[in-house]
Amino acid sequence: MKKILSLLFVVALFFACADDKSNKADITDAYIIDLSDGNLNYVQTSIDSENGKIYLYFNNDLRNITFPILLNADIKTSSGAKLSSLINGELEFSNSDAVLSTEVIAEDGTTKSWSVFLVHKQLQNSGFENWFENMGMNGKSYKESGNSAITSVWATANMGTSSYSVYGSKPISDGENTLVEIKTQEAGNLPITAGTIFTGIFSLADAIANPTDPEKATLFGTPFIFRPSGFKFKFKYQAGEDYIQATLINPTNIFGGFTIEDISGEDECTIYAFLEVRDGDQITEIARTKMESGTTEDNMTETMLTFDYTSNVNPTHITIVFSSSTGGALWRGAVGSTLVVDDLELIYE
Amino acid sequence: MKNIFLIILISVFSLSVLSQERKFNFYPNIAVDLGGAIPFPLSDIPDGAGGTPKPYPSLGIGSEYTLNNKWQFALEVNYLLIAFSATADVVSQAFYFEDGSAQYYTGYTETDVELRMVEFPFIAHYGGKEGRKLLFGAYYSRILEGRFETRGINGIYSPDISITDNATLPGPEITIPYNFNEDIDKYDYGVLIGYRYNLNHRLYLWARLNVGFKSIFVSDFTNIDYDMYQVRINLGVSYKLFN
Repeated sequence: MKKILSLLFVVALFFACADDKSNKADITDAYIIDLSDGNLNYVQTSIDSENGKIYLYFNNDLRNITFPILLNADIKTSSGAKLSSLINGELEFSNSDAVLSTEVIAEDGTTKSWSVFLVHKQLQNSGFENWFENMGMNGKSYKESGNSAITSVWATANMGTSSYSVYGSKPISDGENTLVEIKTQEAGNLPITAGTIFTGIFSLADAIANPTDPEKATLFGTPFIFRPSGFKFKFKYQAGEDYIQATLINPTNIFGGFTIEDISGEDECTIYAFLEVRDGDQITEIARTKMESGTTEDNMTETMLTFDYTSNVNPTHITIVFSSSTGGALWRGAVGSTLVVDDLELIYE
Repeated sequence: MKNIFLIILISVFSLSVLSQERKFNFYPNIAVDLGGAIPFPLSDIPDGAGGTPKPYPSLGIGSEYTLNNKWQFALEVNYLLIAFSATADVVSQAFYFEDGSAQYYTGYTETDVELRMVEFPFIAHYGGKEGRKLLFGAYYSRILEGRFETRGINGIYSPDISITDNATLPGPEITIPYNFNEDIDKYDYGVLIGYRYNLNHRLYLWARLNVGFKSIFVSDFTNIDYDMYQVRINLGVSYKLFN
């Protein structure tokens, strides 16, 4: 009897162990241990497990570093999980905006995609030179800022109005240079949709879930740990002709129609930025700056905004927003208002 | 809800008293409900559409009046939950907005429907042979809670029907939710047919098909091209309390 019980115990243990394979496919640490360029000043790594993103922070302006660069990282994964690439920890970046991709394969075969980003003292694609093709809700191709939907730190509301073939932000060319044009337009039954480009993510799910509150779709912020004194950029703005306030007839129904009222004055663009410390659900703003502008001269003008800090701690996220109508989220603006922006640069003094 | 319980209580009390005359009897029901709602006109069901009913148990009580050897009449109160999931590939399915505009969708859709209700069926039993009876009747149901959620997955969405008519799939990797929970009506009525087999003098097995005569949506719901009607099957057992 004892033998039978022992045998049953061993069999049970075997099956218990066999079923106990982990499905965790996380990268738990990615510490840089060697750098190909002595000028690189590695600070730290942060890991966003939810979205499969790893940020390597360098206290440099990587635009002044010669690429490619080779980093040697000690990458640790969940127990029993394996990397599909980057196995030897060698991370080669061809430029400062490059993003490396890999997969982690869990013990039970579950896979998870991961992206490795370089974060430095300037924002990725801050000159708005790079744009990629994305497919809109109407199946047609349109442009979004950055190299891909996964890797770009910039977002627009283009997907939200794509069913109407309306795109509020798009690239325009000036010779070899590419700028971003941000425009307030009509979109189907919406009399006003302000164009916008911002650091963060545009959430179509939130746009659909909260159609009467456009700001809910803009998930602001991208990881960033430095303390710029401000930022400069080039811009010009032309306000649209008919400045209107649209009001929802039924405040809870975006498709119930609008009343439209002409209002005095002219439309203005808005440009603002803020730095935050995010710790779980706790978000503390530590610096902010903002400007609004009516119609400017027809040439690109360089402007600088300075952050007002309220804390000495370093941020974890930065948000920069450009919008072609300052009251766009409240359905106020002028169709045709156009903001053109180029050459954003964070300033450190 | 209070009113419903009051009706049940009065019914139970009255019928218990009347049952003493043997013309009336009283029975609890337990059943499994399968079904949900189907589009009408039926031509609006896309080719290749599929549905999966989710079986849920239902509970109820009933009273039965015996007119003669062939005819019996019954009134029941049943509490039930019907639920089903459906998938379909649709082409230019329209969604009309209150301001008169429309959007069309082409692509794959998933739909989940749940209706929790109290049902009051009035049933006539007719039978020639001992223990075997045909059922027919009508029902009224009070919908306590309704859920009707559809998702368009990786499809094409446009106000221009020529775009969705000629869409190349798959579209972008996005999910567009359409929730009609607020548009489900508070009541439903319809007819039922079925068959009952008496295992003995007290225990009955039965099967019923219930078909709704009104859309599950409120009358001013005009956002889609078609109505949805309840169609469901009950398989159950009843136990007569008095001999």
